Amino acid sequence: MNASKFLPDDPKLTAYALGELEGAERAAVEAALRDDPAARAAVEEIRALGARLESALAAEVAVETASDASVPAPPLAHAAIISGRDPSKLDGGPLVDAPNFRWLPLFYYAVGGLAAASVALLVVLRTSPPVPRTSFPAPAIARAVATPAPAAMPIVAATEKVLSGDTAAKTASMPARESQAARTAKREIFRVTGSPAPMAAGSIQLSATAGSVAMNSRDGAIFSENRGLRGYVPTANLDSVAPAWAARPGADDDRLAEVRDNDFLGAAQNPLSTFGLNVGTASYANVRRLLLAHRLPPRDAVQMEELLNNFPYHYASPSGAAPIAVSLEVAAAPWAPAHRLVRIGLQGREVSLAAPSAEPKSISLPTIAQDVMLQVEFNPTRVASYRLLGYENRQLIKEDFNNGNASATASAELGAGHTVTTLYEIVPVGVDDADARVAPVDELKSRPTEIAAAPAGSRPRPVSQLRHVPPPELLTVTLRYREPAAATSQRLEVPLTDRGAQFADASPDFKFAAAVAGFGMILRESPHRGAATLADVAAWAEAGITDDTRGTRAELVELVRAAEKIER
Amino acid sequence: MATELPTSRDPTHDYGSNFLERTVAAQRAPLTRYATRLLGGDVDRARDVVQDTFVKFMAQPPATVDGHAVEWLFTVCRHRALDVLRKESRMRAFAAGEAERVTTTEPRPGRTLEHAETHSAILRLIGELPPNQQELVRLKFQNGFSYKEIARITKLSVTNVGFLLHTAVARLRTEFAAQRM
Repeated sequence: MNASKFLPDDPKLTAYALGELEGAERAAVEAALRDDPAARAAVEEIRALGARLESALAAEVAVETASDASVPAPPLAHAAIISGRDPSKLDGGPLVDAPNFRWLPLFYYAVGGLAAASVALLVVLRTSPPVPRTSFPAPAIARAVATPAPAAMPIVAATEKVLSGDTAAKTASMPARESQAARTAKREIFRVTGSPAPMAAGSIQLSATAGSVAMNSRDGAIFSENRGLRGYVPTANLDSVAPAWAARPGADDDRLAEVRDNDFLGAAQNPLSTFGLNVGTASYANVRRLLLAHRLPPRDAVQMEELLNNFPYHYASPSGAAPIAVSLEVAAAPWAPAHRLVRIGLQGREVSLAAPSAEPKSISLPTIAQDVMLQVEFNPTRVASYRLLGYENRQLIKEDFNNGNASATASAELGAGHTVTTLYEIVPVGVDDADARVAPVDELKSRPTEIAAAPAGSRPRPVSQLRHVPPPELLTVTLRYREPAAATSQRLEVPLTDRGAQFADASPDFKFAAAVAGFGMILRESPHRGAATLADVAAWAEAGITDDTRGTRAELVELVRAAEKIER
Repeated sequence: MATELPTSRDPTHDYGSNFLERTVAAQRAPLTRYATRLLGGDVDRARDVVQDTFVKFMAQPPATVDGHAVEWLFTVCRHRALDVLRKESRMRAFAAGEAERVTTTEPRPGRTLEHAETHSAILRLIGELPPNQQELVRLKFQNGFSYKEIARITKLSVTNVGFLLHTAVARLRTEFAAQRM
């Protein structure tokens, strides 16, 4: 060691002061300290602070209360299963007491999308008091649907636990290890909850447009691997929809219960796609932090829409009365060139503020629109199938859209000057793509979900009239929003016609958004990432760097390179 | 480098019938405190996580955790708590800004400090650190783990732990000094 003098901010000095150095390292620091009074003083300060920290932290409220003293040490694992705390707690499943539900079960409905959840709700309603249609926020659904689950599941959860046995590091691989009993029970549960009969007797409105119905299925049930039966979400009679995502090898190694990427939906069956804006960026911050710490983020920490919206884009500002402008662009999807990528850009009206220009994100900008929801109507003569990137847990039921009722599932606000970016991947009619193939129309009896009566105690809701997008248009985007002081929401419709642009022809903003999406898909290990590599992503991003005064786009390239290094 | 020695906090080697039970009894409160912190203050869920951790712990052959039982408990507890958080952050994404709250456990402290409250002043300063630094500070100064143990618990490198703790300590020193002026 060659440190005759220490910089005051040398981590080694802290390590030494805290007694973390040994042997030669320690001796070297001690030698250096002899001639460095400033460093010696720093060491004393660090030690004094350490003592204060220990003392303050020791006094930090210990959360244990008297009631804990009475909690006995758990019996050995097998006994615990038999004697019955909720056995699902032992399988790596959600830590949720059945009677005290909290939020976690919702997770599985985020997987299925609200449409799947609403199908499942029907099953429950037959034995439960009617749930008013208006109380349809997702947590309520989860609560209602999940109620029967614990009764049916312990056998399987226990089985899995017994099989998986040993440590936290291992999570049972459900397909590989499940017993015959588990499989039987699983089928049984699916048979009961997945019965198509309630569809016909429906007492609530259903929507097939809420994206993820055509989710990945295995044995007809949406399947969250390694979660045991809690991961099974009934899909009612939608199991005819093609399973597009086979089980990935090695996926069971991952302890995360995952939210699957939205799958391709057939435009003929599901011409409407509806969701409430997510203007958050927290996921990007997490991804960035982890990558900079040389760790790959867990798949589910990567929320595509939050990555996309971390970056400002240069969309046209609203010129008319509306506070929001919609900018649409379409070009080839770079990860699947036969597919089309549609970018929906929203630009909130600028509000002149005497605010410093630095760090605009930290300034609380006035909200210019609330309850912002988007609905996209696809033209089935042009679009075979489509997929919304991100927003796995934000899809709305279209009745909520028509009622401007975004608050049921999301509280989307747009701040002055903010941009929001959303991407759809489209398989054009005529492109045969096994990955994106969806069920023929007649299997879903064309648009069965437009029908259905309201539940007892609530009024029937108007169902939207499809505009039937005229042939030249690829799609029409309808934006709904409410101005802050307004009681009612406004509507804005913008059509898009595809002129066949290649990716190279696209705007820099488009290229950059595609790069972010590609990055997100790779980090999520999305089955839809096609041939995209991190090197591709970096190239797309670099082609999209423009007007990057804050360096945020350049930073993405850095993060892609960081991810490349970790992957190697 | 130095050999791995059992830490002073670990029960001694007589892992007879009550080694696991004694460890559980001794570590319940510290683990629950740690898990509560990780879970954004949710004591109930923290207790579930800790209970789950203990169930796994009790299933271990004592010899496999001997000498690092406490580290083992914190590692497993952390893993479980993060699992819960990961899932929950998906739920909470419904409301913008909620995700931050999952990791920011302390309310934002005020700027002024009361003289007689050195402890709470320090705790508030700790609460202003980034969540990952807070965790390391607590593992180090509340739970007494070494850099190496912290590295194993958090899956960070020892160098990284040293750097992060150094950063945290430097910031706390500066701010604590500023508060007292």
